Amino acid sequence: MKPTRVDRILDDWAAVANAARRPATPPRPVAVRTGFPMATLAGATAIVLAVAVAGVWLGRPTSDASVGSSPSVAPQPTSSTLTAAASPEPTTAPTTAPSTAPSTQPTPSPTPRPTIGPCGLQSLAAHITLWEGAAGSRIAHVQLTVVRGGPCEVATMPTPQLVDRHGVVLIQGTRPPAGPDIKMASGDVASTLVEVGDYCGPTPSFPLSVAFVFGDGVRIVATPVSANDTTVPPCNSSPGTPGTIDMHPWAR
Amino acid sequence: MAIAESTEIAYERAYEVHWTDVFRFALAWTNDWTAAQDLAQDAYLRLWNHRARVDWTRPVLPWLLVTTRRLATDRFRTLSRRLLSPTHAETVDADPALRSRWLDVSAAMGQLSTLERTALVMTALEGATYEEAGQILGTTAGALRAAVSRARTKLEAAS
Repeated sequence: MKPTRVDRILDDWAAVANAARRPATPPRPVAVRTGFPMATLAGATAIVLAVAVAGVWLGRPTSDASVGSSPSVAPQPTSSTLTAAASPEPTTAPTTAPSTAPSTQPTPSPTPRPTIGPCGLQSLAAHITLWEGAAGSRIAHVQLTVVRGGPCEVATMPTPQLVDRHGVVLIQGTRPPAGPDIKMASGDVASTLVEVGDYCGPTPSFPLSVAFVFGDGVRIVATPVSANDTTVPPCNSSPGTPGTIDMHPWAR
Repeated sequence: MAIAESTEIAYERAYEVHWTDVFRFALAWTNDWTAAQDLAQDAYLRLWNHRARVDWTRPVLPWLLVTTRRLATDRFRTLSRRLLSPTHAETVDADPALRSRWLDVSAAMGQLSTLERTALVMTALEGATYEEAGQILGTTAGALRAAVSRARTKLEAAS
């Protein structure tokens, strides 16, 4: 019997669908890589020293802001200008300090408040579940999972970054307004969407991912959607134009 | 430890055995190559996250397909306002012939609603009964029969 048009379409559909290649390994959430953007011992040492100096200079012990303590005091940066510097420099100070806090080098990252706690950073794993194409941009679906320990309280609005496979920042976001914390128990999953556009730099080292810098400098780098992923936001401007990156608050 | 290892083996086996089924289901649902690949991976991530609660003695494919459908529904509800047309032209690997073929067939299948397209593929290609497909798609066998009939009519009528 002569195949109908429907049969032909279905045959074609099946033939094309069968050509899909399964990724070699099944997906699993991978432990979160953490570290400061510069990822160097010198950078870490400088940050620690800067925090210590700032604490002494402001006349209060730095131990007040230890990770894991209750986030009872909302951060209020002493500077109104936030730059897009990639490396955190702890120049802001707790709001209860004198109003003469240094503000010549404001940065988007540091605040005195611990933004992940009481669980440790090792309790959290972030991964990109998919990249979505959108109008001139790409949208990363990201999940944050409490993989062990808990409970965790996580600031819902960290500063997003687009990073390459080595964690090098390609697009730096600006710090969003402070939002409420999200409370997560062990096994809970929070999700967000990160929209990235206008990457007009050189060809990056794939796969790309997104990182989240919390107010106290803690940084979580999400696992890429796959090891061979080559998603990159399209450049809609001239070369060298800074890209854009924005995120929704973490939500369960 | 033994349970964890056996669960891991079961998960990997489910990936090897059913990934193509999940991808084809996602492709039928979305008519978008990239989205289907992403959905299949996301469905397996969900399976991994739920592996401790999954009854591995029972077939896992229905769970994967229902999860894929729910993920697709949630995803498009969230992003529908920001999405442009599907990106299949740039993603069907690097085979020009395959890409061309996919463009033709996806254009034809794009005339159908999501339910019509998925119901047609599941029953005509995957060999599912209307009852089985109805359980996956969250609707009745009668509704699927009607959807498949509409799908065939639309495809036959298209020039």
